[in-house]
Amino acid sequence: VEFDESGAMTVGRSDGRMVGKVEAILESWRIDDEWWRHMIARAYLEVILEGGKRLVLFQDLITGQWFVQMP
Amino acid sequence: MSQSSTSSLAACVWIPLFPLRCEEARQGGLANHPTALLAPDTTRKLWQVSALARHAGVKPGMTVSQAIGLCPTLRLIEPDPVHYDERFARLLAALNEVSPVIESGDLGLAYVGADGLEGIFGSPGKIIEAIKRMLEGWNVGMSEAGSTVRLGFGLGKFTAWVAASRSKPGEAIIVAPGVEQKFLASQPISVLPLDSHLHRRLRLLGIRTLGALAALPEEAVTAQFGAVGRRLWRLAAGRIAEPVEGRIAPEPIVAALTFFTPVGERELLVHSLDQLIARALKHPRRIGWRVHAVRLRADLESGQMDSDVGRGAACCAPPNRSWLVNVLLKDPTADAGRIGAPLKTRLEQSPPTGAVERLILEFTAFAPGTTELQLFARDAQAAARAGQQRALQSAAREIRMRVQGGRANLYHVIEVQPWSRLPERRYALIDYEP
Repeated sequence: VEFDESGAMTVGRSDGRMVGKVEAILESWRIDDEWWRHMIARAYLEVILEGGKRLVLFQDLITGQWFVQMP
Repeated sequence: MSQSSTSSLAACVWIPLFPLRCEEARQGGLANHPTALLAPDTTRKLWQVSALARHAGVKPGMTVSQAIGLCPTLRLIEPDPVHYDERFARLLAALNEVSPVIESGDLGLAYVGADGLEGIFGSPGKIIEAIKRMLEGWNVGMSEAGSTVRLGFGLGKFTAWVAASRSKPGEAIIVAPGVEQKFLASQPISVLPLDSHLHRRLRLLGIRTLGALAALPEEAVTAQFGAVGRRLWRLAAGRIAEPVEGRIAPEPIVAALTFFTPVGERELLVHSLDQLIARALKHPRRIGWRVHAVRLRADLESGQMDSDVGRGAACCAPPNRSWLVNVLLKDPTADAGRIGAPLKTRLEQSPPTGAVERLILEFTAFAPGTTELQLFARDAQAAARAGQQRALQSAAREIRMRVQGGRANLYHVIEVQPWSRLPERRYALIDYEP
């Protein structure tokens, strides 16, 4: 996930190919779990891309990496 | 579903401390250090200790803290029962190349039926040589364990076992037929299958050898120690020669489940176990048969040991730890609840010592069902199911061939933790073998 100067979000693959620009964020939430084993901290975003495709993204708040949550 | 055959002449193959030897073979150089294997049911106590550790005063059953206090350089190893089980199964398979009649005892102990082998190999010495050659092949990559194999040969399992237990590592004692009594007479009573209480009572009576026990009247020993005493007297006097009972094990029915992320919660493991039992019971080979023996094993997440275990010791955790339960059902059954109950008890009493990555259930022995069930297994409906099964197998084979040239695995996606906040925890993959 990248942000341009205006703050607009773009979703891309790890090989550099673009998936699409984010048109709207429907919802955001955070999960903190399993602190007793391997801490899991994630920030989730449910977004709509240009063209209407719906995606759930999350950022691993420990490594900073972004992922697409597969259904 | 299983057959058996017997042999009165027996060769005993014994590798003392088999699990520890497996670890020494897996981790090079371990044999040069004082080493102890932790107990499979609790990582706070020792199970087996090497000769070097024993020399430093460390004994099986000690707590980790006591052992480290006695021997600060002690190397602790977490148990990997599945690995030991697999190595032992390979040993039995290797012995099966020498004789079709193989009976397994505890880990590292096996009996080879030798009736009729004279015609193939020659004298008992030649039979032992053939077993040794086979063990050398099995020992590739396990030379340290190989040098500790002890062999015995005689009439009946007990004589063969006593001979093996008295032989030097890497060597054999052959007891020629007819001289069993003379051989047994000079052996200590510790070779008998005694509990510590009975052993102490015999020692208090001044009985230290099998000959001393056999010299007593059978009736007196029976009056003093009951049916157990009678059997011990007969073994000591060489009056009974229990034959080797070989069993051709049926192909087990296996159901496995791979978790997307390792699971430590017991409720989830129990839930997954129920799913596996239900799946294994539906297997077409199970229809008409009741389950007699069950094995549940788990591949554990490799990671750190708990703090008490790691303290003060140079600890070598192997890369893949495991957990294993074998259950023999008193009453063979096809009821999921009754199959699951003893496994759940074990999960409760001695759970896996780490998070589980893969859970595998095996039905390893079967008993015939009722007459009605047997008929059901053969009826037309079952035949129709078998037809459907063949069609499914063919479809699955085709899918595998199309994806990755036949190397792909097929899975069912099943719901395991639908309430989890982490989406990938909600489902697991279960092997699909139509």
